[in-house]
Amino acid sequence: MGINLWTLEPNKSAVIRSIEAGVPESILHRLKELGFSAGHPVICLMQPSFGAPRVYQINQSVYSLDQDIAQCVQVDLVEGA
Amino acid sequence: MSQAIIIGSPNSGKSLLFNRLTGLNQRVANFPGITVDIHTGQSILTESPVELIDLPGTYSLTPLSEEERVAVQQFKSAVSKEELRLVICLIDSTRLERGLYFAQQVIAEAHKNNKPVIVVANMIDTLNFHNLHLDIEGLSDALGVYVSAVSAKTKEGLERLVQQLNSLESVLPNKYGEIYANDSIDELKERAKDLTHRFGPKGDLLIRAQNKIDNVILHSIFWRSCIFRGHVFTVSIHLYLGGPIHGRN
Repeated sequence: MGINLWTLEPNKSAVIRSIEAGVPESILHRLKELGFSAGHPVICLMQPSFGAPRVYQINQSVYSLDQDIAQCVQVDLVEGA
Repeated sequence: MSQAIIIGSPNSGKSLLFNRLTGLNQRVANFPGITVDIHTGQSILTESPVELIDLPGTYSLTPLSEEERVAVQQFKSAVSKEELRLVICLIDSTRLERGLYFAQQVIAEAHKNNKPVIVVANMIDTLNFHNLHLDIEGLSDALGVYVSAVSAKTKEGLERLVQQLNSLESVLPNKYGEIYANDSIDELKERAKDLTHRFGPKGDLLIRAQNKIDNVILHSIFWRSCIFRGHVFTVSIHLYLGGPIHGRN
């Protein structure tokens, strides 16, 4: 099932499908450098309250993303994870 | 006087290492973005004087913010200078994969200017605390540059780093700089992942341990209540002491 990364629940895994068009080139480049590119598995580690950035794990790295960025990352849920 | 430049990600401990090596007292804190301008100082630990340059942190050599732009611009300018003898690329050993991606970028840029690089893996004390191992020799061979493990906080490994700084002449130009310079983002990422898997701490024990602490502090009712009480206490103290000072009842 396709959702955006912001809506991925804690401890759930997904695979990145794409990053929405319209994201500024510099941010797109940085996301790719961090590993947010198609085919990479991602896990939501933490969903703090009050709209604070959410924490995601890609491989052995942990990043926090703001809502406006995370919403641009489309992911496919990994069933059973 | 020969120069060495310290470059690394924000909050990787650059300024603390700079302070350790120079004996200066640059402001450090446990959050990123403390260093916003360039500091220089002379190393007091090395046999011959080395001028150290501490740059603001950057996550990549493709800058995103203004601080990163300053850091990258200064790095590229410094690395092209004749007097610069060494690039010290500081990475956080608890975030190895991210650090190794950045280190490859730095090695590639230094290679273009024929400058040697030492990769310094900081915060080794945290790995030791969790009984995790970093294969420095293996990483050094695979990366093609000297790798040193230190803890700027506890000074562990600092002596070995100073020895390496003392033998600047013997630090060889990086072996694989040209390869890194021609690699795409995906290839650099893949290599960083592979090197972390082969030579870094096994599994995601560290991530789970850090996540556990965050969960306890951020999500437990007890801690939330402690933080709330702390805020109430602080506000009460301000009101109690501030009222008489401002002449109010």
